[in-house]
Amino acid sequence: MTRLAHLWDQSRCIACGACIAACNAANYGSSTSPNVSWNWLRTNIRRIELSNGPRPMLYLLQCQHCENPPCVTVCPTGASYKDRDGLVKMNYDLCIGCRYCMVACPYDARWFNESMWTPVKCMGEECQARIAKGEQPVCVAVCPAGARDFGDLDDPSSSISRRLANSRYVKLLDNMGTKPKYFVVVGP
Amino acid sequence: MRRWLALASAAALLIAGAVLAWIGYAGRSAEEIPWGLLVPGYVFFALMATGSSIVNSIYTVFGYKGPNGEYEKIIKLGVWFSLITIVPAWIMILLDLRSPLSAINIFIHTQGGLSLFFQYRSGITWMATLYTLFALTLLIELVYFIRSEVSEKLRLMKSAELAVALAVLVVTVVLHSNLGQVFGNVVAVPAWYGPHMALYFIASAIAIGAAGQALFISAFAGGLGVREFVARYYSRILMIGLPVLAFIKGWMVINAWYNPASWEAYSLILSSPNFYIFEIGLLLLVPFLLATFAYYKKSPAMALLAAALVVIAGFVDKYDLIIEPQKAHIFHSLGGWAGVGSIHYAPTPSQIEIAIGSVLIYVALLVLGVLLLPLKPGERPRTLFIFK
Repeated sequence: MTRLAHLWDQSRCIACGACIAACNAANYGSSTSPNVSWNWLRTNIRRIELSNGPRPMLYLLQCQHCENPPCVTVCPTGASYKDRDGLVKMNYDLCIGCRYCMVACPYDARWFNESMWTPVKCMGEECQARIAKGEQPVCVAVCPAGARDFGDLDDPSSSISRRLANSRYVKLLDNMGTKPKYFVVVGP
Repeated sequence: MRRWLALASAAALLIAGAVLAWIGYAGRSAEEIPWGLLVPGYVFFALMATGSSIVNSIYTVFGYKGPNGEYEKIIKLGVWFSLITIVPAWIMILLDLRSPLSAINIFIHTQGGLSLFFQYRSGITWMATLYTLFALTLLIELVYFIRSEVSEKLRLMKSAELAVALAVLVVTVVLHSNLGQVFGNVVAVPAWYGPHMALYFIASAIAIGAAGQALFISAFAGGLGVREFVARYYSRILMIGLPVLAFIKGWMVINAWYNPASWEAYSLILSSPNFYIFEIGLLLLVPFLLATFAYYKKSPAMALLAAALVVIAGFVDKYDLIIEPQKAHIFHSLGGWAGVGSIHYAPTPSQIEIAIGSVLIYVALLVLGVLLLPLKPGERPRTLFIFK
């Protein structure tokens, strides 16, 4: 079985925003139209600044590709679904724009694309095409600090599995039972 | 002549409403929260429709006919009110979707050939199913009442009448409790999560439904000679329903106080004057006192005022309950500790246009029904099976 997952190493991230810009360029054609839901760019990665600490820190949030995704459970048409590799995806042809998935996501990882009148999320179409070709999602490919990784958790030899085996990491809102697959590495 | 003038006015209102709703639909835009004005608007009318249907069941299922059989004179008007009140709810929610016709994807998929689909885990799928059953059973009930005016055979089919009425009641109760749990099953929004939403929605529905129906029926009560009955009957429902609503609401607030995540939303609700003016004063306290006064003094004016307040404040109550927790959910899970800032929401002009358009269509349909259908005592169907 394959269980694809994301890793973001907070301790290595240099906050350059390359992943965000690359996501915007690859999946949304470098659109400058606003993302009203997040008050942000049209990108699937949300940048949250932690302003209370002694030094500037940031947090990058995106779809957690949960093993128990509430967005899939509530979708009335099957437009939100989990594929055989464990990625949570959208079939836009089936989406009716009810936004129940947006409400149900505890991570607020979906934003509303006004031009399509549907919620959108990570993975974007371009990243899905890259993965189908055996390449990494753009956010991983462009990261200059090696702070991101993507791969199969069930393959012990995959890069992500090896990094997780040697790191301290957290999973967001793990107590909600969603079994997120977005691992935030906080140190070696 | 007067009837034709009324018909022309209703038709004009219908067209104006449709045009306004369409203008709003064409100019839609996204907001920071997923569910804006049209969702509380939809919930409000759905509760009013289903609540008034429960009020009808006091006659249709439980057999209460009033001290002198007064209820028989207004039951068809009551059923018509329940049936048509669901229409603005449908318009608002369908115009909030990608396209109104896209809702068909809930049941039928056309990708790679035609196939049927039913996502039983989704509350919205059940809502779509239950609305269909609700409209269908109410329509059958209305046609039964209209046709039984001219058919002795139908009048004698008491078990069939009861079976239809029971079907309406069961569908109604399941419908608005399921509507509550569309929100209550969302674990991501702590202020909604839990079985209290179904209970609150049932209690709200009965109060709002009785109030809305009282306003509608009052327009005909004088002519039908049932002014006193209407004043006492609807006042009594409010006298019972409002304390129940207050009881559930009180526990919802207390429960939220024990849950910091839920309290994020309730502190927003409680910090707004809306809570004290509308949700407590004009929804619970004042209408209860007015309804009590109306009941004992047999005062139609007081009953009408109580009903009007429940309708207006009932909408504000639903608006706050649906909008504020969405703002708090985002703020709490991501923004509260991260300094992202608070979420601001105000209804957009397009949402207001759709909402007003839906209400205009609703009023027009209510009037058209009274003009075209034999809903009052003595009126009989003469044209096209059900028209007078």
